[in-house]
Amino acid sequence: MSTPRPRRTPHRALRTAAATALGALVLAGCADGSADEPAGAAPPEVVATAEPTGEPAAEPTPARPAVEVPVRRADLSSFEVESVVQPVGVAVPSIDVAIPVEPVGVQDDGQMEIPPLAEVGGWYRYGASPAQESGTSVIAAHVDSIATGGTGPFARLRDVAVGDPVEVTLEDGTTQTFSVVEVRRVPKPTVEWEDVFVRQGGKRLVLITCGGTFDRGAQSYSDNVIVTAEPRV
Amino acid sequence: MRKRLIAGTAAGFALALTGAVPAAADSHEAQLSVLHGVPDLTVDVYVNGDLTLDDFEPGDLAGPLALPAGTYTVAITAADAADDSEPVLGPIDLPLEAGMNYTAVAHLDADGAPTAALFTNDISTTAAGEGRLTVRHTAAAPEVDILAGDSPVLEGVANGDEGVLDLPAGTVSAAVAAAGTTDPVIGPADVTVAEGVNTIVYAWGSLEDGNLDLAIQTIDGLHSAPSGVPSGELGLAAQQSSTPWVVGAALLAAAGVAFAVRRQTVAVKND
Repeated sequence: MSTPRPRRTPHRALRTAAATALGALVLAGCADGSADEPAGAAPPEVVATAEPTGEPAAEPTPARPAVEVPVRRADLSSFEVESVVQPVGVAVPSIDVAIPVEPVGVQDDGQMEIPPLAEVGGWYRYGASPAQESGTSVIAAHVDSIATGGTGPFARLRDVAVGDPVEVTLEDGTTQTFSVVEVRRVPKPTVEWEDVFVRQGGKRLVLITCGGTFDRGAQSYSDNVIVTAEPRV
Repeated sequence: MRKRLIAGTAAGFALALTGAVPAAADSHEAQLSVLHGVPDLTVDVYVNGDLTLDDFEPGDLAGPLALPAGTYTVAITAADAADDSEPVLGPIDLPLEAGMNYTAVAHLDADGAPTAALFTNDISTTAAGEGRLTVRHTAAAPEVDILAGDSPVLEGVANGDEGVLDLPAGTVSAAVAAAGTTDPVIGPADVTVAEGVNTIVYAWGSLEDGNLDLAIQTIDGLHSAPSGVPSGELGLAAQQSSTPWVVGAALLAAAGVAFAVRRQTVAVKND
């Protein structure tokens, strides 16, 4: 038995770091000649006095890397689901669009759900909200629909110009303003939806409707009109 | 379960193609979480001989830690131990592969003796609109059924076993009952299965001691995008139709609606 190590102050947030363990691991690997452990990702700061057994010398060890292992209670009552402030309306004044927005999900066929009325936008509720500081919020509306019996406001989306403001009203009454940075019409089979429905990264708003030609057999337009906007500065 | 198999196959294919697991940040690293599921025992956790979790309490979840792939030796001692020379559990070796996500659980076996298990968490991509529910039996209790609503979704789950299913995102009323019964020994409790998230529910504690409980772990970022945005139904906004007469008919229909409305207006005015 080696000298008892000094106890750290009892502290719920763990003071010991994984990095420390890794540092010791790398040392141990070196010491016993084992080459099993990849050392590349190990933090640079290593406790030089650590022995392969992991028992440091009796004196307080040098400062350890300040990486803490996050610990939380795992019971059901500690498990909180984040709630987001939802958008309730979107307006593009330059093309005379101002429509209410409701949260939508995914259809049975895996496509985004779109409100039946072309005068209502659907916000993809699994993605980001315009209230959040990162990620892409997606709002789509029918260019025309059976329920509306004609075209809707988003039929004018293809006429929007780069630089036009887009205003999103949130359920808390506040407004987020964006500027159009890109307007494109993309054949549906070639749209990279993973690049549109992005949950991390910069804050963006994407407005989507349909365009191009209409295939009556498939009951589908050939293209999507995709308008990307970024926060107005 | 069928959906899960399909998703797993797809992910495996992607893995074979790219040599990387989608949800892993670094292909050289493994993600490790640690759950303490042994009742009434505050412990210290040593990794490769170094104190890593101090005063780790029952029901605590630590991590995730990004660790270089390799085998780690874990020993669990009483909280007042001076070192890891007299572990109450272990030492055990945890082989961690790059790109994988694990949870090491200290828990009771079916007979109530402390043991440890290393579970591999399913981080394959989920379908748009779906979440994943993983249920793990780490309690001193016989085989159980997992109920969602009133009906069993996973049957005959033994200590150390798990069940995994993908389902539409939402809230599940989950309960645990002895296998073949529907009388809950845990729950029912509302568990949120969020979209693109693997929600892992552990049953832990001891049936005999009356301290069965649930622990929850979540792993997010497994989502995928919808496959399309079907945002037009009539062809009225088409730039050039493959069947022009359809547009004409649609326009006529729309005009008819407008005409009817106008007539009604006129009729009202005439009154």
